[in-house]
Amino acid sequence: MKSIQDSEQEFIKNFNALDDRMLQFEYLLGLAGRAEPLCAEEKTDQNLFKDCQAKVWLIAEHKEDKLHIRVDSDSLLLKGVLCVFAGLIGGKPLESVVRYRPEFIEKTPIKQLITADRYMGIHKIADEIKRRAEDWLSDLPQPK
Amino acid sequence: MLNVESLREDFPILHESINGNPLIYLDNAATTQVPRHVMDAWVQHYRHNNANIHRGIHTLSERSSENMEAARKTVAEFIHCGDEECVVFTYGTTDSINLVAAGLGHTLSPGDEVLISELEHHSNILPWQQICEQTGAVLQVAASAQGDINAEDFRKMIGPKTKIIAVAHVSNVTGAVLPVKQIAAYGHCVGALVLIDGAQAIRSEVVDVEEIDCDFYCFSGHKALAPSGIGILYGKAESLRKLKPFRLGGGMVHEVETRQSTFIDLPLRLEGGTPNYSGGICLGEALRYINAVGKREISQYERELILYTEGKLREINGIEIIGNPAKRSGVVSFFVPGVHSFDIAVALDCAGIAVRSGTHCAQLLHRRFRIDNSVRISPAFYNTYSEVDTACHALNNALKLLNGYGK
Repeated sequence: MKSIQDSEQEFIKNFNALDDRMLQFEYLLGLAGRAEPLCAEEKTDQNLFKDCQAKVWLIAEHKEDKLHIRVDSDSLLLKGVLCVFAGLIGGKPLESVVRYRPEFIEKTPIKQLITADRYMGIHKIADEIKRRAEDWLSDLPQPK
Repeated sequence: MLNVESLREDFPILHESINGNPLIYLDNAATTQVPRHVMDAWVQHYRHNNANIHRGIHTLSERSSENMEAARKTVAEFIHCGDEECVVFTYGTTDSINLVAAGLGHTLSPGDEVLISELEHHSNILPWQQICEQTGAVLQVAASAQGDINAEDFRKMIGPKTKIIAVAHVSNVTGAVLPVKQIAAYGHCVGALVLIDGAQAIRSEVVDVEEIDCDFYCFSGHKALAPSGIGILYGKAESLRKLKPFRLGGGMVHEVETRQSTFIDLPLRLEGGTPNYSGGICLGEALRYINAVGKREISQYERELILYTEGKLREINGIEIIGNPAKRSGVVSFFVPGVHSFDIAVALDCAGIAVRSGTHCAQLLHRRFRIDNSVRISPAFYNTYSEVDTACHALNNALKLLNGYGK
């Protein structure tokens, strides 16, 4: 299985190769459009991360030691960025999620697309996922 | 008649390229661009005249002080105020309103009423919330059906307990031009003090504080072609003298003793500390520029341009314009059901077009319309009809794109 970091480097390379702001924007819209939306019952306050401008819902679970994550937002662009994040860490071992520090936003024009405030918001989400992964890891039975 | 193409040459930034496209700057309600004349005035000041004002007898201090006071006189004339001592330099509209709210706290008693409207920017809501909380006064909020204020409906909210009325001259979301002269008259019938937030009006309307007869009028320099960090609080002398000085320190005292001090008179008594004198000097230059171009010509052009913009927006499928004001100035905001305004603004930015998305610091008004966010377009006199056409065309394309991916 490819590591999160390897997958991320591949994404950064491919995204930067698009080299046109509108194409990059459309690429992220495309990811958002293809992602399965959360249903109305899943868009609860508990699953809500409230950004200044857009709402983000996140459902993160673990099965054994692997992370499973689904995202949605009322902003297609933010949903697209979160889909990148979810795609990188979804199905990966919790240990690697805890060790992972996202770089794909700073190393691509995504940072300019989403602007500084949203960028901080997405890092808060990443920190929250990391915190939950740490908690789940510590609850898992340790090998003897 | 304005020669817009020629005027645009005065604004170097309008020739910037954004994401490979010519900049179309339509966010003037957030801040305006600065003409060369104002930039030159700033450079001139720092190259030849810079010194702190009213604090030295040397030549540079005298030059700096004279230029600052000349700017004060220019401001007074610009807003038709007969006494330049009634013009106080502040750091912006928000600062001015906070100065008045904090300064009038001592005049309020429990049960007194402060009246604002649902249209207000947060800067004309929060200071009053705070002062009401501190004094036991009650904050009353006039509803804004259609994103406008009806003078008669507003009058019904004014009563013997109304001590302060604070409203915008122009809404920063719907562009509604409020009937401020009537509101001031109604307020004075009950002895209330009336503050008008002129942030959005100062450039696109012809402001005459004596005709409005308000007690206070405030605005920000950066919405009238000046740099940020400078603003104006105008007040009738007797109203300004009611304000307990908020900014205490150097430059506003007469005598300082161990346990008490006396303050000098207006306007300096409300300008404690070193003011943004270079900003003030630049504000003077900005208003002189507006006068040279023609205040009435600017106002007329902007009024026609915003109506044209509104008309073009109404041709686009899916757009819902916020409010239907009787008179619109400078601003039009809209939302598209099912499409986030942030996505729209980013799509337009990809095409070099600058608009604003969000609540525009006017959450009460957005709540009235039951929406979370909107897009705001605010052209100025240096924008062209062709730019509005290009922006609307890009908006149409953006909505097709976003609606396509959103299904």
